[in-house]
Amino acid sequence: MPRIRNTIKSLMLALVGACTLLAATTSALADKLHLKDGRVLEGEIIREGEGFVYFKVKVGSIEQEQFFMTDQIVKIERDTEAAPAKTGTETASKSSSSASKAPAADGVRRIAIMNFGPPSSWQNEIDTTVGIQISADAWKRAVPLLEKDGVTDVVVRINSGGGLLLELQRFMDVYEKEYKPKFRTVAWIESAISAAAMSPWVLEEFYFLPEGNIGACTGFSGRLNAIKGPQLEMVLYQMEEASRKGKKDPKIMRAMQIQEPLSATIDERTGQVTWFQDVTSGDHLVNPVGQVLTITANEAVKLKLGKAVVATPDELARAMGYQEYVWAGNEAIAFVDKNMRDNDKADKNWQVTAEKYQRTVGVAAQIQDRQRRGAEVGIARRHLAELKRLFSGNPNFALMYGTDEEWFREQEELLKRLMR
Amino acid sequence: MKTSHMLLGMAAAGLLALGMGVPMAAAQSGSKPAEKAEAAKPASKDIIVFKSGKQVECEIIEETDTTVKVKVSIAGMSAETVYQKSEILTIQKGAGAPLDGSAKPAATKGTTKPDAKKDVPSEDGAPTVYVVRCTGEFGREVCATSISRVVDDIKKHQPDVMVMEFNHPFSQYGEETPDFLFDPGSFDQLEIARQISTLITDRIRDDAEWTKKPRLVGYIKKALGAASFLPFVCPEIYFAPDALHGGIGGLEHMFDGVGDKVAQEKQYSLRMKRAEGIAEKGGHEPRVVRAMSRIDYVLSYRLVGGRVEFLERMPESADEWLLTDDGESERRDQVEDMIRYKGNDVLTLDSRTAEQIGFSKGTVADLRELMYALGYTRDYVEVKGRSDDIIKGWGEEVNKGESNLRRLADQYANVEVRAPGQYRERTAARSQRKSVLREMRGIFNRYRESLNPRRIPQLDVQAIDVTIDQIDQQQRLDGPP
Repeated sequence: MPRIRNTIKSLMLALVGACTLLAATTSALADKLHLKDGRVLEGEIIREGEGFVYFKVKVGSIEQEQFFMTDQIVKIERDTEAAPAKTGTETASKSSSSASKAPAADGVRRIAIMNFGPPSSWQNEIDTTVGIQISADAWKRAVPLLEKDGVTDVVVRINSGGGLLLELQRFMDVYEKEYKPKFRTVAWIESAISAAAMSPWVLEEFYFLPEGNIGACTGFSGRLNAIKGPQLEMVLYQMEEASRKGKKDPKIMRAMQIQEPLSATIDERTGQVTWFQDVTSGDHLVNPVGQVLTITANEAVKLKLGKAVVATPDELARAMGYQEYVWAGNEAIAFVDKNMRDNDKADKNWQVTAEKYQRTVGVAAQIQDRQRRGAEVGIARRHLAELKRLFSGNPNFALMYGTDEEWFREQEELLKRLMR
Repeated sequence: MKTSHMLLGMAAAGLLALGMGVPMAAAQSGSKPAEKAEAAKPASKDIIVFKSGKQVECEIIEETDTTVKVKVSIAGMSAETVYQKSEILTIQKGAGAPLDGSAKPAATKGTTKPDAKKDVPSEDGAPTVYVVRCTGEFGREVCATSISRVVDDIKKHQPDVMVMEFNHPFSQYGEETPDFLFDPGSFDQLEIARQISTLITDRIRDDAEWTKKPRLVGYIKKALGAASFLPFVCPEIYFAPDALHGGIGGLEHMFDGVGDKVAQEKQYSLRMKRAEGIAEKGGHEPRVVRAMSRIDYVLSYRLVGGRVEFLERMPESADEWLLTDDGESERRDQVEDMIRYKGNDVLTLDSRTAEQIGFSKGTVADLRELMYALGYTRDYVEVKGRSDDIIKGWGEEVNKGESNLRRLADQYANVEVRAPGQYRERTAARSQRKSVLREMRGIFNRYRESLNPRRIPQLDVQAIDVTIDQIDQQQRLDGPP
C-alpha cells in the first residue's frame, strides 16, 4: 500500500485545511496572491501543497476555485486576523461540501478508488453497462464498508460506454445523499459515455486520465431511436438539477444530450469560464452546430470542467492536494468489483437459464409418468432458483427481460401443479 | 481550392527534398550517419535560446535593437517570423545544422536530427531495441491476446527502446480489401486499439518488474482503417518514406439511414472522442485524428514562431496550408484522388504531411535510420525477441481454430446412432455430440476476439450451452422406464 509521509507538509495542509473550513461560509476572502504576470488576486487559499495552491476568488456573485503552480506566484499575503473571527457553526455548515471532509484522526487521508465500470486494464473481461454490470445498489451497500475502514475520500474511477436511463437517478441519489456528505467524492474519468457521464454528474470534482473523455448523453432505444417529447424533457430537467448539484453550467450537459451548440470564454484574469449555447458568443468553440458533445481530458481541464489530467493514483492524490495518504477501502472496492463481475455473469447466464427453464417445463408438462415428470420439475426448480438468484442480484434484469416478482410466483404455482 | 492546394503541395514537395535529403543519402551510401555528419561543415544555421527554455534553429535575416527576424523551416517548408529580443536568452550564430542540409536536417520538431541527450547506453555499452513488427491484420493477428504475449516477451529483455512497427494489410476478418475502400466501420475496432494501448503503456508503467521503462516509439509503414488508431498512443512517431496512415474517413456517415439524427450524432461523438483520447494520451494533436475521421471537418495549419498552429477553417493567406476541407459540392474529392489517398475531404497522412504538421518526428527508411533519429548515433543492439513468431503464430492458431470449428460442425451434424440403435447406442451418440460441442465451446472461448463470423458456424457459447442441456434432457427422458 503506497504511503507518503511528509510531516511538515502535512501540518501545513492541516492548518490550511482548518482555515478553509472556518472561512468557508464567510464573505471575507482576504488572502492575496501576487502573480508573476502582474495580477493580484484577492480571495482565499483553499489548499496548498508542494508546488501548488488552490485559491478561491470571487468575481461578482460567483466564487471560483483556481489552481496555481508556485512558480507562477511572487508572493502570498495571508489574512491571519480573519480566521479567528469565524465560528464553529460555520465550520459545520461547510462540512457538506465534497472538498472539505475532515482527515482521519492521524491526519492521513484514506482514499478508496472504486471502479464505476471495469478499467481498460481488465481487458474486456466484462461488459460496462450502467444498470447491468454497474449497479447503484452495490455502491449504496458499499458505504458502510467504506465507513468501517475510515475512508475519507472516494474516487469514482469511470470507464463505461453507458447504460440504462432508469439507473441514473439511483446513482445520483446515492452520490448526493450517501457519498458527498460522508466522503470527499471525486470522479476520475477514463471514459464516461452517456449514462456513465450522467450518473456522477452531481459530483463537483472531475479528474481525467490522459485518454479521458466524457459526454454523448443522448437517450435512445432500439435502432438509434432517440427519446423525444415529455420523456426527453424529463431527462433534460433531471440533468439540469444534477448540474446544479454538481456546480456545473447546465449548458454543458445539454450540449451532451441534444444537438445544442456550445462555446465558452475563459476570463484571462480570473480564469472563470462563461458558457454560451451558441457557436458565436464564446471565444472557444466547444460543440459545433448539429453535433452532440463529448469532451476529451485536455479540453475539459482547459475549460475547467476537469481539475487535472492525471495518469496514476499517486498523481491523482497529489492533484487532490494530498501529500500524506493511504489507499483504503479494500473491502468496499472488492465488493463493488465482485458485484460487477457477478452481474456480468448473471447477464450472460440469464437468457441461457431462462431458455433451459422454459424447455424443461414444457417437456415436463407432457410427461405422463409422475416420477419422471417429478424429475424434470426438480430440474426446472433448479433453473428457476438460479433465475431468482440472478434477479435478486440485479432487479434490472426483470425490466430487461420482462420478468417480475409476479412472474416468479406464477412459475412456482405452475411447478406445484405439475407435481400433482 | 483544388488548384491552390495542389500548388501549395507542389511547392512544399520541392522544399521537402532539402529536409529529407540527408537521411536518404546516408542510407544510400551505407556510411554511418555520424560519420556523414562530420564529413563537411558548410555555413550553419543559428540557434536562438529563449528565456522559456525553448530553442529554435533558424537563419537570422535581420536584427534590430528589439527584434530578430528569422527564417525557420519545418519538414522542408520555410516561414519567416519575428521574435522579441526581450524573450531571448542567447543567440548562438552558426551553431546549428548546415544551411545546405548536407549533414543533418533542420532542427525544429519534424526532422530526423538525432537527440544526443537520449543516447543512453545499456549496461554492456550499447542501447537495446526491441521491434514489434505488427504485420498482420489488426484485430485478428494483432489483438489483445497476441500483444499481451508479446509484452511478456519484451519484459524478459528489458530493452531501452520498444519500437512498434505498424505495417498492416487493409483487411477485416482475414479478408483483405483494397486500400482505397474507406471503412468507417473501422471505428468499431477502436475498442481493440484502446485495449491494446493499455498493454503497451499502462501495463508496462505499472509493473514493477520492468526495471527500466522502455522508450515507446511508433514506426508507421502502413496503418489504414482500424489499424490507424493504435499508433497515436506512441509518444514518438516516425514514418517510412512511402507510409500511409488513416483510411477511417466518413465517420459521420456510419449510421446513415438508421434511427434519428441526434442518436447518430451521439454515436459519432463518442467514437470520435474515444479516438481523440488515444491521441491525447500519446501527446498528439487530437484534431489530426478528427481530420482523418470526419469529412465535414475543416483543418488547416500555419507556422508561428517555428511551431505548427492548427486552424479549424480554410486557409486565408499564402502561409497557411489546407489539410482537409468540408468535402461539400465542388470541394468534394475526385475518385482518382480518393483512391490514391490524395484527396483532402479526410486526412490521410503520408510521410511528408506527417512531418510538416509535426505529427511525425521524421522520415526514416529502416531501423538503423530510426535509431539514429532517436539519438542513438553509435551502436545499438536489436533484441531478437519472439514477437514475430507470437503474432504470426496467433494468426495461424486462429485460422486453425476456424477450420476446426467448421470440421466440428460437420462432425456434429453427422453423428449417427449405430446399429442396432438401442438405448446404449443412442447414449453413445449423445455423448459424442456433447463432446464435439464442448470442443467447439473451447475454441470459441479461446479465439473469440479474432474469429471471422463469416468463416465459422453460426453458433455461440450460449447456444452451445443450451444445446448441451437439451441433449442431457433427451438422455434423461430416454432412460429405461
